[in-house]
Amino acid sequence: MISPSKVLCYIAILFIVVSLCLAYWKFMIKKDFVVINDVENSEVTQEE
Amino acid sequence: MELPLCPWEAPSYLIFSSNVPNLVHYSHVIAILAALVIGLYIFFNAPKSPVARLFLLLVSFFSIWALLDLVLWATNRLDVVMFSWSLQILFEPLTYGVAFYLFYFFLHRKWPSYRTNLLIFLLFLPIISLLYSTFNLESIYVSTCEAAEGFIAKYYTHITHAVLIVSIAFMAARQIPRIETRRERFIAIFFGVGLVTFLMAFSSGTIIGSLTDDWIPSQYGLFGMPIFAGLMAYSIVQFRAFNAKILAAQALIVSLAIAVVSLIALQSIGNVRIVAALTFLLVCALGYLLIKSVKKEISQRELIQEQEKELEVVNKQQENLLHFMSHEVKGYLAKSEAGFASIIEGDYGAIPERLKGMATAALADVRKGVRTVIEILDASNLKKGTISYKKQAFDFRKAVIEVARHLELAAREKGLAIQMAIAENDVYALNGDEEKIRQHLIRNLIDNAIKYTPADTIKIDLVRKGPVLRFSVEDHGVGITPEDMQLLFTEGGHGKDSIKVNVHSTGYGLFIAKEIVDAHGGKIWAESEGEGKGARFIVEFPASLA
Repeated sequence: MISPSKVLCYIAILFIVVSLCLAYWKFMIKKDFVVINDVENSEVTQEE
Repeated sequence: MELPLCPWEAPSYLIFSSNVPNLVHYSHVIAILAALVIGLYIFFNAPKSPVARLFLLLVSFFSIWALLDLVLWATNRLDVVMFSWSLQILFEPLTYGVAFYLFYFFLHRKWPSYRTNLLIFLLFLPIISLLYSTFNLESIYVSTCEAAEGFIAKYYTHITHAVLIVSIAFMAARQIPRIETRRERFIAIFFGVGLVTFLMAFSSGTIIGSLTDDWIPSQYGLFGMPIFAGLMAYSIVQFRAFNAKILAAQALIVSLAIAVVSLIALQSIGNVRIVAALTFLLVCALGYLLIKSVKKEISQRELIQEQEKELEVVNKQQENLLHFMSHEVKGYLAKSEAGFASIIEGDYGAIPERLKGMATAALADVRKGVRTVIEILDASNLKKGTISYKKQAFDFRKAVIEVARHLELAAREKGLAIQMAIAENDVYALNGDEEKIRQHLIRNLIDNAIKYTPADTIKIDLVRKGPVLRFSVEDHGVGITPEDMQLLFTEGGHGKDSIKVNVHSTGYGLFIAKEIVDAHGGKIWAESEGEGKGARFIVEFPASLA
């Protein structure tokens, strides 16, 4: 029988993977974060 | 949506841009390479050891963190910074978590309890679940490409690190005094100090960076990484008795190669000085370990050679003593044997039935004793090389049948049947020492089959296959385990449980049988499917003798 510690380990790995996917989706795909543009006359921009 | 870019050019190969000082490349690349080389070396030395696996995981997490750091220095994209920064926030405490498990297993040789695992899981839960939220990273500045950290990144991760470091220190204080030997205690302390220093050096920069927003000091912490990783690897090696000399030599060569290559990449004189100073420290540390282990090995080798000579003398003396004792005992037993035989045969007149029964039993026992002593004497003579063979042509088939018939009574008493399969019309002439082959080979194999078989039959096969004479004895007895198979034909080699079945076994029977077969240019081996599944002993003599 699978031990409770092993179940916990699998849950932790699952949580980490889901969390990484969410971070990727939020920061890299949706680009949903606050930008403080402290560069005057910044003309260089990144297109989506 | 359009995002502004930080005020420097896009990186090439993810980690090279004008925003990354040469020193940062040096501190990161050398740390990653050295940590991975050491981790992989330990892992390939003992791939199944949990300590080696955890150590590899630790240096891998650390290397991922350092690589992400290089990406963060080099990139001018805000989204890449936010994603890489959040990954760093995850991998830093994960490195601590692995360090905790590594130290736990190093000391206890087992995994922590479910309760401990649950506590660690709960400690990590806020970091994992809030990784992408503003609790972790609030915003990002375009001018520096640096994120403004939230509660999780700024405080909670450091709390996690502190909890894990305190736990490691607590574990060390509680467990190390319980280690029995002084050497192992010293190694555990060495390992614990190496691990904690590794973690402190790892974090010191990021703690200062988080609290002061100055990220330059974190670069210097990384210079310590290869040294601490090396110290830990050295402890693991000592604990598991790997070859420390090879490890130190390899680590030294790899580190020197990396240091020299990175010197080529550096341009400013100031940086070259730092690199040269660090390389010098590394050479001193690893060179010291190397010289120390070479010295130790030489003194150990000298000690072994000395002990080997002493052992040879003691062995010789013991052999002579055994030979002398066996001779003496054999002489007394032979006299007793003759005496009892005379009584039974009526040389001293008629004797009462009760005395006759006692004398017959005593004669059988004395004969067993004579056989045991002869076996030991023969083994001793074989080892000394003083045994001689009287080789002449004889009928091997006749010898097998006669010995088997002689032992049939003993088999029947145990309820065993002996089945013989010998083709009548073949020629079984063999040129060899008939007496020794009868006594020490045929008799020994059949006798063993009887002793080690509780019921059923014993099959004796004799066949001539072209140029080879093949004799085999098969039983359905206790069988032979793969471990016992290794000891089978060795001097005094007993199977693990054979002594339980046959308490009178000297362990020399099969050793002598093999020596005799070898002396006749033949070969002998055993086959068994394992414990309780019987065994088959096969002997082959080459055609030149047949």
